[in-house]
Parts: sequence; C-alpha cells; structure tokens
Amino acid sequence: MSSKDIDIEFILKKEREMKRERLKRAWFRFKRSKLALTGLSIFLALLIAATFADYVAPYPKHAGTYVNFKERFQPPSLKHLFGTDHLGRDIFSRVIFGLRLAFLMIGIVISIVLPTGTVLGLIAGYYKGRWIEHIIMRLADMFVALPPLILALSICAILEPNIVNAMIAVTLMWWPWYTRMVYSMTSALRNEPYVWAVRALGMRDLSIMFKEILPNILGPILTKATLDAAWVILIGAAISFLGLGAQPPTPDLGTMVSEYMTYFPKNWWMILGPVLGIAIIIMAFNLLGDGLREVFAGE
Amino acid sequence: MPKNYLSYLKKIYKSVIFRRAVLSLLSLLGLSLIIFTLARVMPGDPARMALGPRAPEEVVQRYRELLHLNEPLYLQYYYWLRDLFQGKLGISLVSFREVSIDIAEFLPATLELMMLTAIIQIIGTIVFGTLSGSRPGSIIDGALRVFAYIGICIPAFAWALFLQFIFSYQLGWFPPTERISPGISIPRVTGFMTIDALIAGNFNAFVDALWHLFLPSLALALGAMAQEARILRSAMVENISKDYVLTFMSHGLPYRLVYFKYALKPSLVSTIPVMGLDIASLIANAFMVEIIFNWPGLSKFGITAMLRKDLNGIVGVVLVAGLIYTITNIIVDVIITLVDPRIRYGGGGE
Repeated sequence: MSSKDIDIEFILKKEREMKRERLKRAWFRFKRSKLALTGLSIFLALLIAATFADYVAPYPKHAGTYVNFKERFQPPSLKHLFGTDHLGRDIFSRVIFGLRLAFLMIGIVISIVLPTGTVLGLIAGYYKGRWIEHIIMRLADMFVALPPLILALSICAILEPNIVNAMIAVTLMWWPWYTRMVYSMTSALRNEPYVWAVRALGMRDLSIMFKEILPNILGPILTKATLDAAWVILIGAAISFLGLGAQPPTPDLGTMVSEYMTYFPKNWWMILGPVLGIAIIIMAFNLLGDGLREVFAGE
Repeated sequence: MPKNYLSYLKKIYKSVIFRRAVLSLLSLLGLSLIIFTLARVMPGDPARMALGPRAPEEVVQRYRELLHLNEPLYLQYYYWLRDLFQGKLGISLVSFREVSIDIAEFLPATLELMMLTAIIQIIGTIVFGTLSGSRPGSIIDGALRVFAYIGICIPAFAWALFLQFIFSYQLGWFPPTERISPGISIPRVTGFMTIDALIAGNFNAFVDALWHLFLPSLALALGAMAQEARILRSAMVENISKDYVLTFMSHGLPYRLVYFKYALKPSLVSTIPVMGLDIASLIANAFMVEIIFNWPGLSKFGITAMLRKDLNGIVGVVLVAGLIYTITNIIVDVIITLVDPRIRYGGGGE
C-alpha cells in the first residue's frame, strides 16, 4: 500500500470531529452538575460586573479618594446596598471595584504561574534522576518548607507594601505547588509505552513533553488552577488585610476589611460588603473547579 | 544490646520520615538564604529605611555596623548563620531586644491557640464525619454538606469577625479580646496561659484563659473542620460497604464497634494528611485571627516587624514559623505511619 492510499484530509476531518464530540461530552458532564452551573453563572456575572465596574457600580467615583462627610456611616439601604464608610463612600461600589482588582490579581498571577510551574514540572519530571530535576525540585522544596502566607507576607514586607508586590509575592509562593504536581504526574507518565514509542520513533524530548505528556495532564492542571484561584484570593485578601498589600484608598477587598475594622462592633455592616465579596468570589471558583474535576474525571 | 540499638538507628536512618525531616531542615536553611539575600539585595539602604529618613547619620552608621551591612553579602550571611547556631537572631528594631527573646515571649500564645484549634478540629471532624457518614442522605449529612461549602468560602478572619460580633459584642458570652481578663495575674512560667494558671493553682484563671481561647480557636477551626469532616464522611461511606465490614457484621460484632473501630481507622488515613496540613498551616492562618482578637501572639510581633521593615525580625519570624510548620508536618507523618499499616510494614518505598 502506498502512502497515496491514506487520505490525510479524511483523517484530519475525523480528528476535528472527534475533538468537537469530546468537547460536547465534556460540556454534558459539566452541566449535569447544578452546582457547577451555578458556579459558572456566578463567575460570569462577577466577571462582567468587574470588567464593566464603571457602568455597573452605582457610584463609580467612590472607588478612589472621594469624600462626602454628610453621608458617612449610613447603614445598608436601597440607596447604599452595603451602607457607606467613614468617608461617606458607597461600599457596594467599592466592593465591585474590589472584585475587579481580585480578578486582575488572579489573571496576572495565573498567567505567570501556570506556564512557569508547568514547564518546570515537565522538565523535572521528564529528566527524573538528572541534575536538573534535583535543582528544580530542591528549589521547590525550599519554597514549600514555609506556610504560603508567611512566605508571601515576608516577601511583601521586604519589598514595598503595594498591590504589585503582593502579586509578585503570591506568584513566588505559588509556583512550586504546580511544579510539584506536574512533576509527579510527568514522572509517572514518562514510562508509559506511548512515550517509549514516540521516543523510539525519534521524537525530540521537548516535543514529547509538550505534545505527548502535557495534553494528558492538562485536565488536573486546569482543575487545580481553578480551585487555587480561590486560594489566591484568600492569600491576597490576607496580605492586604494585614496592611502589607494594597494601601487605602485602593478599593481592595482585604484592605477594605482592615480599614473598616476600626469601626467594627458599632458599624458592623461596613465589613459585611467586602467579606461577602471575598466569600462569593471564592465560592464561584470552588464550584467551577468541582465542575471541571467532574468533567476530567469522566474522561 | 548494642547490636539491636544499632539496627534501630539504621532503621531510623533508612526511614522516609528521617530523610524527610533532614530534607525539610535543609530546605528551611536554603529558604533563609533566599529571604536573607532578598532582604539585603533590595535597592535602598536597609539601615536608612529601617530607621527612617530623620535618623541622624551617626545612628544609621552604627546600625549598619551592627548588621554587618558594610561587609560583603556572603560574610553577612556567615555572621548571621554563626549567630543563629548560638541561638541569636539579631537585634529587633521593634523592641530593641534580641529577636529570639521577643519570639520566645510571643510564640507560646500562638502555640496555645494552635493546640486548642487542633483539638477542636480533630474532635469536630470525627464527630461530624462519623455522624453524617453513618446516615448518608440524612438531615445531618445535608447540613454538613452545606456547611462544608460555606466553610470553604468564608476565610478564617471572616469567621473570627462573625463569632466575635455575635458571641462577644451581641450576646456577651465570651470576652472579645486578650488572653485573660484584666485583674487576673499569674506568674509566667511556660508562657502558656492555661498551663501557667494550673501551675499557680488558680483554677478560676484557668477557666478564664480557656474562655478567652475558645472563640479564636473556633474561628480558626471551623472552615478546615467542615472540609475534613466531608473527607472523612466520604471515606466512611466507602469503607462501610466493603467486604470486611460485612464479614464483621455477619460474625455478629456490634455495629458500633465495627463502625467506630474497624471502619473509622482506615477512613482516617485519607483525612489525617489534609488535617495535618491544615493544622501546620495554622501558624500562618492564626495571623489574621490574632489581629482581630488582639491576641499577643507571633502575629503581633511579626506584623509589626514586617510593617517596620525590621529585617532581623522578619527573618526570625520566617524561620520560627517554618520550623514549627516543618515539625508539625513531621509529627503528622509519624501519626500517619502509626495509623496506616501499609506504610509501617511496607518500608515506605517510593
């Protein structure tokens, strides 16, 4: 049989069809779970509200250094859903802008950590037993030897306390957890027959890592990223709550909690808004992550 | 019997736990190098930054000499390491005392909090996990499920604020802040308020200290407890339908004995690692709860040191927190080996 008999076009078409079919099945598995769907809709709603915060928030000016002493310490009402703070700013508007900062933080941190952690883990796992594995994994061990929050806090403290450095700190704290997970999965997969087969065919190491091994571990990686996004929010909120992250008047959720805690037992509703903001964004990511886990577990 | 002793030592050396302990201590040392370098390499003069722009040049110069800031970096690290092995972490800028003295003063309060939290967490996990695991689909099971979701979403500091608001400020059942009521004074022996009270023979003070401990511990325990109870519950549901349980039942063993002894033990194997990590992380999570309850623990010193850019203080807190984290993790490893015979007899191969 000559190579002409193989219809490349047909194979590619079939492959595309299969891909579409797989996506359809994944979506079917995802939407079977009501909680996952709830998570997805909350996530989308929050994302839209955060992106268009200038139009969604009733008082977009209140996000910054706006002052209106006439309306300070207003309890929650229809006009001010979460009340107003010590400077007369609408807390609801500030929480929406806080969501935007939270999403920004997740976006930036994930887009740095996910590729870096994955690539390092792939390399360390594939070259298990070589010197490069030892360097990468011992470095990861060092960062894991400390509770994440303490590491992030101390990095923030050594750098200047602001929101950019908080992101740097979270990034530095987070990558080893990815690297370790990808490492353990890669080092398990590298002895699979299909990896041997492509190696025998002369495929280069980098291509094996990215074309053969990576697609097989992408599911757990994405699931972990979603679940960990909630965790990033928590750590980020903790950093700014302790005064080492974003500084007032930045409308960061953690900063707001610490700012409003001064008035705590008396004007307790002030912290309600930011805390609810943190809780709902964490909930959305958790539900979404559970849904994704279902999708990939079914494969 | 020296031979036996030697073989015992050999066994320890070969064990995974020993290797992990050595490795984590080495990692901690490496981490200290990273933090140390980061702290010294940052642009700007650390001495000037620490003392503020208005400090006279003479004082800044003295501080620079105190920290060996004029010398090359590797020598600075060498001095620091030499002092470390003598138990000295340098002078703190916050209190102008040895950092190790400061930490020794503040750490027991945090450890006390961690311990009660761990106790609440363990008891709560086992109670709720077994309760809902024995009746899947029941009201308790459903309530636990909802509670677990809420527990994941609400961070510990929010629980702390919530509990403080309801039980201290509204109902007045618990004191809102501090470790002990004003007016009660007990001599400091161990630094653990409850133990000191018992040593002094003052039972009222003991109850008072416990009363102060309860809310912050509960706030720290709640979220993690809900998740762990869920893990235990699903393990229980899985184990209870296994053949060996059926065998025990068919031999006429009482249900409770089978359930709480033979089904609970293997179910704990999957719960303990998660629980252990949560308990070890308390050293960090306690930071925010301590601030809310005005608890004079490690966070009080740590946060002040961090906000004031007190390099010795920061590195000291990092090291001590890392050490406690590591030790807790090793203890958890030992407990896992005790519970799980597969690890105990399997030799713990890779």
